[in-house]
Amino acid sequence: MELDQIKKQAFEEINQAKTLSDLEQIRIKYLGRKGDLTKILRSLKDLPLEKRRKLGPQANELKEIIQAEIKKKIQKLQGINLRAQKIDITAPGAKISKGHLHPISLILKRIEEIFCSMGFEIVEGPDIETEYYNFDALNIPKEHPARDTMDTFWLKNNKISQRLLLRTHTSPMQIRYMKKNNPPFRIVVPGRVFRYEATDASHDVQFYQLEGLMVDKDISVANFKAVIQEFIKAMFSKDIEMRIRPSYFPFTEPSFEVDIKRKDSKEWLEVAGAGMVHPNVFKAVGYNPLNWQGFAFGVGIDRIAMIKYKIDDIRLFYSGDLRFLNQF
Amino acid sequence: MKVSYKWLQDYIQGKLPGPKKLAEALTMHSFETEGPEKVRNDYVFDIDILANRAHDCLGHLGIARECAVLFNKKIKFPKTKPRESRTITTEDFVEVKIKNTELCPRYCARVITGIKVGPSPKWLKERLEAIGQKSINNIVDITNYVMFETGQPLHAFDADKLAPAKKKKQIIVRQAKKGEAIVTLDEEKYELDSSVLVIADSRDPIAIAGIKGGKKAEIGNKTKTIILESANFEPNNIFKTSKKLGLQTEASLRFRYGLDPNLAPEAIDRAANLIQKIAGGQVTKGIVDIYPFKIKPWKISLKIDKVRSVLGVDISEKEVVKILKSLGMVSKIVSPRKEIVNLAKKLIGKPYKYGASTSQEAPNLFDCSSFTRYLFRQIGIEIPRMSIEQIKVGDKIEKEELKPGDLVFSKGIGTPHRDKDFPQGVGHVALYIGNNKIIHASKKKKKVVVEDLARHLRSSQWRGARRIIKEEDNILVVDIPTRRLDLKIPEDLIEEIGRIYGYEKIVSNPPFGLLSLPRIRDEIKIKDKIKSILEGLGLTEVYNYSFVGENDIKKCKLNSEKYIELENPLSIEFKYLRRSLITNLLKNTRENLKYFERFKLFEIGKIYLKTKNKLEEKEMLSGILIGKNAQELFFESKGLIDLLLNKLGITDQWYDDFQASPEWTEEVFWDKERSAEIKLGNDEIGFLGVINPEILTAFEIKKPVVAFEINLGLLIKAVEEELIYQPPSKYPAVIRDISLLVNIDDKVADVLNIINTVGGKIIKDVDLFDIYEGEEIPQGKKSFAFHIIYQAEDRTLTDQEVDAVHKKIVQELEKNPEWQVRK
Repeated sequence: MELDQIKKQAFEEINQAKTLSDLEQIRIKYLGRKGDLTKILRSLKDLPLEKRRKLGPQANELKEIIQAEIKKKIQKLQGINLRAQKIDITAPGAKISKGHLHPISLILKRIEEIFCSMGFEIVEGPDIETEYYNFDALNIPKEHPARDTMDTFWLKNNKISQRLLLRTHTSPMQIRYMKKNNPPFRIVVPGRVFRYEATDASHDVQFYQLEGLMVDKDISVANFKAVIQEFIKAMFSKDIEMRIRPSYFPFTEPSFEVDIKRKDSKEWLEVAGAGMVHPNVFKAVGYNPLNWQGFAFGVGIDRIAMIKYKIDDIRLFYSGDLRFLNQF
Repeated sequence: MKVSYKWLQDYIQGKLPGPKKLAEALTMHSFETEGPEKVRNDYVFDIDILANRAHDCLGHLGIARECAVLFNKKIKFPKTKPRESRTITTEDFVEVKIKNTELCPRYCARVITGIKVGPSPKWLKERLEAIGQKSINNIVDITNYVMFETGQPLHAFDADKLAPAKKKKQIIVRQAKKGEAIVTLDEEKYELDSSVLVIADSRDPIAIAGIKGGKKAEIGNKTKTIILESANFEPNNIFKTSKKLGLQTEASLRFRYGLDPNLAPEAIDRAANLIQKIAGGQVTKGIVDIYPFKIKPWKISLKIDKVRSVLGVDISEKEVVKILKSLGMVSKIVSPRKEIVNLAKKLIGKPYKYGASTSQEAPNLFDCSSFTRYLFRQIGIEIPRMSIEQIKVGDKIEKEELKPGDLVFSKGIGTPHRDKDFPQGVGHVALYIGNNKIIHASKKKKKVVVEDLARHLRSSQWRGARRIIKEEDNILVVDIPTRRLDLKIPEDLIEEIGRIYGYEKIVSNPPFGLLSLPRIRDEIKIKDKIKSILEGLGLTEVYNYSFVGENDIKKCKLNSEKYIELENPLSIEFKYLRRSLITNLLKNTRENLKYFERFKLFEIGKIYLKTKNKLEEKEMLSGILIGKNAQELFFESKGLIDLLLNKLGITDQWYDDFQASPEWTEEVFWDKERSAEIKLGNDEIGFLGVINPEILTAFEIKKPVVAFEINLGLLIKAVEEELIYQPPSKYPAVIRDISLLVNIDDKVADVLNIINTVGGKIIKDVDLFDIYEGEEIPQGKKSFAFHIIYQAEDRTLTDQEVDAVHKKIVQELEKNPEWQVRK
């Protein structure tokens, strides 16, 4: 076959090719080991020099031209394919594994931000406490009825002189902090606390509390109201109402309870106990109660999380159940 | 406590507001009140009486008092006096002996003869049933009724069932004898010992004091004569006994919080009156009343300014006085110095008695210091009993500074009291009243007298003067009725004023004061950062219990002896404090494998360690990865830790072969051949590894698990060191490049080392921006290309300076014959 003829025929076939495999067939037909053009190229060595010089470059050029033409056509065909592959944008995205923070962590972080913005310092204290810090220094002497309402986990320890326990509230940090620092100050203390009591949907053997303490020359109930209102407002939406009613704690006088309620709900929920620091607490840390006034409060963090995320069972927090945790 | 609306109305003049409004007001000003709940033709509330008000509010009358204050009503007290027999006296009939007056400060007894026991009238039954109490018979119901009315528990004994006595029946209040037992009204038998206070006849216990009556003297249908008891018992002993016997009753609940002993006769009269009306009979004359140490009303002094400052409201003196009055507290505004002098003048002529009791014998008998103590109590100030103690309170003043109301101390007649502060002795105290005159209880004159100070000092040497009254302003002196055991200090009164005024009326006021910058300590910031990095890396945070059980410890092949044990665990699952976070993470793994195939968890929490002589808490960071292939998990976990540390600014971590455990964790959960120690420089900060398959089997986990545990304290410390801020240099940086041909096996670290060593301080940074091997590079060689950033903290570098250093670096690199700097 003459080169011209090969060229014409090959181009025609390439032009008509519909699929990539058509093109492969064409390539094999002309450029394969037994292909038409290959045969010519192979036969060159048997030709006389003059003819070889003339035909050689022509055949080689044609080889390149056909290769290029096939390549062009492949690109064309692939282009068609690409355009044909439409994306169904309604199909679900790929599942990318994602982590989650614990709801209590989320609440704690928010609380830190809110109180820091009001100039409070964050401090932390130990879980294992002595009887002195957890009770005596907080105006709860041995026989005080408040001791049996705060059911306590006691630790077995033969070698240590003081009786040890798991703190039943974060208030021991009031004493620890005041013994080391002088007023004026404002602090918050987040932490884990423990109660020896039967568990149910609203009680667990451990939970989180946030202690707050502010002491200065003339800190008042009105000041406390402003601080706690700001906190509740920042923590929840504006659709939350708050009220303060009388309560009793041995380490504050007067004492009160803070309740909140969603505007669309009828039920008031207790979120914090609070009061003005009792003079005996100031005496225990070596302050003169005539010179200082302050408020203290304890917020139930689990409670806040339960209200915020509408969680109905406190025990879920400590279940480690991914079906629960993956929602945060 | 359950409270009936109709019952409350009995004690109120005029009409109470509706039950709903009442509940709201009580919640906002007194106690949290649930309800009202409609019960038949009545409404019932459930009121959560606060512990400090149990002594006056665990009865309808107490709640009615609160209601009267809140709605500006007057209280209508029920008629209490019985009609007494003119002939038979109670004393002729019964004798009461208290063996231990500390445990039983007061005992009142009455006798009623010829009663008829039977069912209670309808109204009484309904009242008791409304608040959930069962009707028994008219006598028992009346004692219960009076308790739910006044808060004072009462008990009735069948007098004929008491041990026969020669002349009169005996009631003995004593501690139980070892081996004694009692069968109570509900047929339970209790073994007693000397810690238990009992009411006994001349032979046996007939009641556990303040807790429950005995079967022996039970009121029955045939009972004709009863002895009524209305007593006061010491709270702590009641509590201890009640706890010990596992017996809590309506009576023990009330005694446990303490009761006003002055309530006892009121309640017994009320009960006798009702019994007479309902069950007939004759009430004998008088109460047998053993009450050796009488409680009298006391006074508290209050400054109006303090009330305003604590509450943060501008409340008027008039309003304060009005609130206190509504609560039954009479108050008067006095000038403290004038008041105390006037009080003293009124006592002139009262007889002297050495050692007279201030609370029991004043104002009829005094010695010198009980006289001054009494005077100060009248203006609400408490001072010590003895003159040598009184000289230590208040401010020391000189003779020339004396003002009316100050205390003057002298040696006194006879031997004075001495101590290390006053070795020469202080034996006498007097009140200075101005014009060089004193008033004092004089031992010599045997009465309270006015005397000239100078004249007094001639016979009794001067020892000093003290000023107790520091306030020149008027103060409010408030009389406290004995039923308000909770009111002891000014702050207690401020609470009363605050709650009646209404906390809702206090306008919130942002505190001024220190303008400190908000401080979040690094530690908390770093913890938050770690959490969010791990979240980003696909780990889910869990919070586990601080406790582990015996079983968990066994499954981990550990020894429970090392664990801190609870004295009173709630269950065997919660018997010990965790020593590692991994134990509970393994439990999480087992549970979550029921629903998920692969997951990654982490926890930040405390572990609790016991060393020789102390207990220690350490905060840890642990993670656990669950998947298909242990090796893949190991490397994923290692990559995770690297990324975490790098994001925290730590770059010098490395992993060492697992070796013997350090002190802070002896918990070995890992397969030793497939675990590593995580190190920063020389410090070990944690472990990483494949969990031992035997442990996994014990936890019924069928997938490979890799876990890591890092000491958070050490990690935070390392991060804080990295976090030290370097201010950016104010001087320009110069950048030079170096391209170096090295052997294919040579390490970047070796080249960097030379550059940094030669360059020294003026090298700010070295960036490797290209590694190339291939075309144009000889076989067996590769090329590194670096940007070297030169910058000084204190000056602008000159070209010459940089050139010189750069040249030296080139020379140093070329000392290696295999290396070639490409020009």
